[in-house]
Amino acid sequence: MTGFLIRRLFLALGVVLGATVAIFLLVYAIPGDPVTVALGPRATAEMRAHYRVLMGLEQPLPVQLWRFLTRVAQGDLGTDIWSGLPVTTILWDALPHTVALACAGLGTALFLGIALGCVGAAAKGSLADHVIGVLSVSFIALPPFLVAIYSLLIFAVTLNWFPAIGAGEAGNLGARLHALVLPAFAVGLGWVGYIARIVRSSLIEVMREKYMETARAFGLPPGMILSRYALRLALVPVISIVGVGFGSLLSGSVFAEIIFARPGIGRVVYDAVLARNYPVVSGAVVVTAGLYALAMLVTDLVTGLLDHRTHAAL
Amino acid sequence: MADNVLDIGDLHVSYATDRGPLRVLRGVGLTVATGGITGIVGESGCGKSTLIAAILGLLPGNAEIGGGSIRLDGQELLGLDEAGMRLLRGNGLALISQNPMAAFNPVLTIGRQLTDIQYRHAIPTALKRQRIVDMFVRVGIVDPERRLAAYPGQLSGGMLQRVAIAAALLTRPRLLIADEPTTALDVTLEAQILALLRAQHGTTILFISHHLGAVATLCDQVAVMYAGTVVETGPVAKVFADPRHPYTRRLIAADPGHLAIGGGLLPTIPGRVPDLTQPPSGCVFAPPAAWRWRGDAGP
Repeated sequence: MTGFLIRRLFLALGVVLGATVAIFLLVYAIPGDPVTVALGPRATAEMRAHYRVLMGLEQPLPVQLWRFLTRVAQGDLGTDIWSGLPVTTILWDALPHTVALACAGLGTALFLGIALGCVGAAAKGSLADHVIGVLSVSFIALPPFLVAIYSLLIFAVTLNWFPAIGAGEAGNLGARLHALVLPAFAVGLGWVGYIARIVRSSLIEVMREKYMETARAFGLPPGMILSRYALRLALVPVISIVGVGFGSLLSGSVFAEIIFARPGIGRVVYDAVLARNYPVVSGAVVVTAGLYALAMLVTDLVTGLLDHRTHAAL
Repeated sequence: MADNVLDIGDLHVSYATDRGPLRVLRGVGLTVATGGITGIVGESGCGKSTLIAAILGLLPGNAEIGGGSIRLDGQELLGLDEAGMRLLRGNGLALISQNPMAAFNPVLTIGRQLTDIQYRHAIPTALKRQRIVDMFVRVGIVDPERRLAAYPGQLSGGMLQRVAIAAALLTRPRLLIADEPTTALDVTLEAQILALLRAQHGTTILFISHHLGAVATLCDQVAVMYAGTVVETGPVAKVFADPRHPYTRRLIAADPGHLAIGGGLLPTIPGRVPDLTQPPSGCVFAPPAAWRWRGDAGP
């Protein structure tokens, strides 16, 4: 178990390092001079040269890369070109909103998806199973941004049940949660269908196993058979997919943050890309990669807790 | 207590298939005497597994019971609903399944699973674990305490089959159904497992096998099944020494245990099992008719 943890931890660090190097090279290769962006078209040649030295841009690529990596390792992600604030401050302010959105969206989807998947598997071939199947595929097929726009129009504009924009008043938990409902719904709806489908098929497969027959032959209560004997194994593939999903939601929640005018990492990156605010972009990528690696680490841990055999395999 | 723990009469079971109902059991009659060991032999596809599933009330969804009765200690099982059947499973009926490697949940410890099957007993978990350890000693599992923490994948097939027997015995079954418990094991382990079953005096066992030698070693009574019916039944010694039904004779003749060494081709039973979606009238073993050509008497 400890060896497994250490191996996974190194792998996670490798992922973050790889992503960091990749984003640095990408920014380096992008056409357009960051100095021009930062100083504007009317800057003099002396100002440019001064700024170039200040930013370390006159150094060869390996030196720049090394400086970048050592700064990142020390927790310094650079300075926002526009506001002059440290990038870490900007990201630290935005991050909780995105994590809350991903957790709320995916958490609810997980709960609903598992429940629907269980119903589908238990009543295989029934009307309920077919209805759930059709709904699930529809949920997957609906583009999330469309769900966001329509839920905004219906529930916020027409019915006025939820706020249309913003993340709620700071410090007011009720208002924050209230403002989280629609974005989480938009982000999570597709996942409900996705998870329901996986749970259903994986549960049906597990139910066919010989050891499930043993459990039934010993007259174990259906609830115990489902939760302890079947679901535990059936959830293993779901957990790996949710882990990947959480990672992609961290960076993929841009649409929800833009449509609902919410603060968050996605929005920060979007604005930074448009403004060619490279330190913020690369800082956000480093942080997202770190969170992604963390999500994968947690996924592996949970999978290992559900099925001890995966520890030996990894 | 009734003389017979299990009394099956004229049991008909069919499966719905695309080609119409597949009549898997066609009037099976069978009794298992209290405290005795009854063997069922027959080739693959003769309906042994369906019979077990019918007794346990675990027939697949496309199965239909066409009539007959299954009585456990005089209680009719066929009319029981799922809740009623579940009360009997693991409480009066216990099953040892064919492949011990697949019989246990791979992600739960042995101790956990054997504790779970005692869920009906309102005793502390520590006591349940002690019962398991005691039972492990009884079925010859060395180092029983340590096995409780093991996962099924960490134990050998022979060990797991002992665990399965211990699990079945933990429920103090009135009828222990052993579904080809030695098929997945090698010969040495098979002998050990048979000896272990033999040693459970007073436990009524229904032993399903296609290994005639195993049945001869273990059982008092034997029922020979063919194409969904019991073609011959009686005490083991009598049936094997003086088989009355031509199929029984063929089955015994095809048993490798009866062959002289270096006998060349293994004997086979001529013909094939009839298509049970359209079973022939009269004796189902009649169509091959091979034995008549060799001078055997017909049924």
